[in-house]
Amino acid sequence: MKNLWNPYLAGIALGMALLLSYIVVGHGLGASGAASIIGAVGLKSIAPGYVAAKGSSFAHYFADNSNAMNSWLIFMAIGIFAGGMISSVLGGRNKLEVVRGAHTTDTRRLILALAGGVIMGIGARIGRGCTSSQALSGGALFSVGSWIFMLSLFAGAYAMTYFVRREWL
Amino acid sequence: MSTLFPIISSSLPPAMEFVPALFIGLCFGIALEVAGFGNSKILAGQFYFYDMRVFKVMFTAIITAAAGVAILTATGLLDMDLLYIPDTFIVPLLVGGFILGMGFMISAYCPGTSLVGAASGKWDGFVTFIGVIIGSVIFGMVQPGVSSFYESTAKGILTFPKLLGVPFTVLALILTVAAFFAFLGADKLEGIFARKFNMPEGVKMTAGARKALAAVFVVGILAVVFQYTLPAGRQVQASRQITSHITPVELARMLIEDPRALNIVDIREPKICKGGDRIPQAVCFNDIRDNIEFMYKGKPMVVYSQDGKKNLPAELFKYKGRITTLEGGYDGWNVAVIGKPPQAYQAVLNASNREDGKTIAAIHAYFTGAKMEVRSETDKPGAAVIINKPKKRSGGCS
Repeated sequence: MKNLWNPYLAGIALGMALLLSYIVVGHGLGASGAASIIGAVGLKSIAPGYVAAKGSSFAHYFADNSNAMNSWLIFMAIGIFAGGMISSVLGGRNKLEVVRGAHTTDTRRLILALAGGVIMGIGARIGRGCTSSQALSGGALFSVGSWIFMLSLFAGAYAMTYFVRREWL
Repeated sequence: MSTLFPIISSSLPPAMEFVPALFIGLCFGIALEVAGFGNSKILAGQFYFYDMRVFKVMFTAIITAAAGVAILTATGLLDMDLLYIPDTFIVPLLVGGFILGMGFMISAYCPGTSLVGAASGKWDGFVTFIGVIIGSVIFGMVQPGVSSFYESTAKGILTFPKLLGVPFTVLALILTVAAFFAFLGADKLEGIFARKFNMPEGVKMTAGARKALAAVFVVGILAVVFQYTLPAGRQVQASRQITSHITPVELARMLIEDPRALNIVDIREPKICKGGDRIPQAVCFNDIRDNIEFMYKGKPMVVYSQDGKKNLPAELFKYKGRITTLEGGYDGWNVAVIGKPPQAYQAVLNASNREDGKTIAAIHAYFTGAKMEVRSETDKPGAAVIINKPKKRSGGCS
């Protein structure tokens, strides 16, 4: 990969972005929350009755009659996407492709990407956040739960390495 | 004394609130992309040990942000108690983290980096993000059935400084030193596994990176020094209290939306508060007076007296967050929300605005069709209150 930053310098840049978030808005970064909102809005368009029903876990997104998409989580996700696009174009890394290991196929890779995404979506809801919002943002403030989440995250990932090794090695 | 930070965007006009989120997201996206996290192959390298970029970037980010928070707090610029810290639920976080980790390895992205991957033109990143959306909907569907697990082992805001009794600044410094040695280990490990798997080895700590990490370390040392020398670091920061008002109907809406988003405090006479009806989720002032400084969990406090005219007890101002008073107090709540028919409903009907009228009727039904069981959280300051949601008679106010 060309022009990538030294990981330690990129880490400092990421840490500064996190610090900026703390001191400006009083909370950390987030990405999975936007997916939850998009999912709830999508579900509402298909099954409005189900979303609004008694005991539904989606109702709270729409409780105050305002537009659920009008949330800082959505705007932050838009920012992440825009930042990623600007930076990848400037760095010459923006290319329409399926990234995969040498011994697998595009189709297999995309199926696993989707499956992994679904599993992460479930994990992020149970864990009240993802690598950004829980592990990184809570971890830097020494939240006990965030560290439990982070260590468990690495454990879960390493537990899977054997099963998907042919995808990458 | 109030601190400069956090600025908190609620001081912005509503139409501008998205600007800081957008800008911070932009910085976040750029940092993730230059780290190489828009590419699943690089992320996968972490888990076969030949390129430990994920670990290096993540822990450098954590020590940088922690050192920054430590020095801003020690110099009195930042009131750390106003920062949002996610609640700890031990078992759900353990399970959720493990599941997310498994998905991370299978997709080779995490939710945030899948967005960056998609933005870099990677189809696998795009597909992963779609998967995250689907997964969160799936869990949302089963959540009501597993809520006892989802809400289990709740510890409220639990941090290592609180748990261990070690100041934040000292912990930040210790973590910085520990991370430095872990980085040296990671650099070594990469060499071994890159040979084993015949893969390209990760980038090492260059002279520039070493200097930058040294700077983070110096910030950590300064934070500890300031903590023990500057008076600002030791004093409990008085909060930035913006006392404002909320109407009963607004409060009712907020309660329906998220019953746990507020700390509601009843400051009527202890006998009246204990003995009679309260607003749902309200706790009696007498029960919490010793714990007020620990109650803040990123939530505003709403205070009510009988008629909304009683002066707030001085002890309340130990609260670290914003305090709002309920207009008209409990009487106002009774008239607007509980009364039959609620006066506000009548007023809106008279103004022939049917939509608003329906909303208020729904609010009325929500609260009066409910047994108002309120549990006080006096025994466990800071612990999450498990709330018995009032039964809905109608479909809420949607």
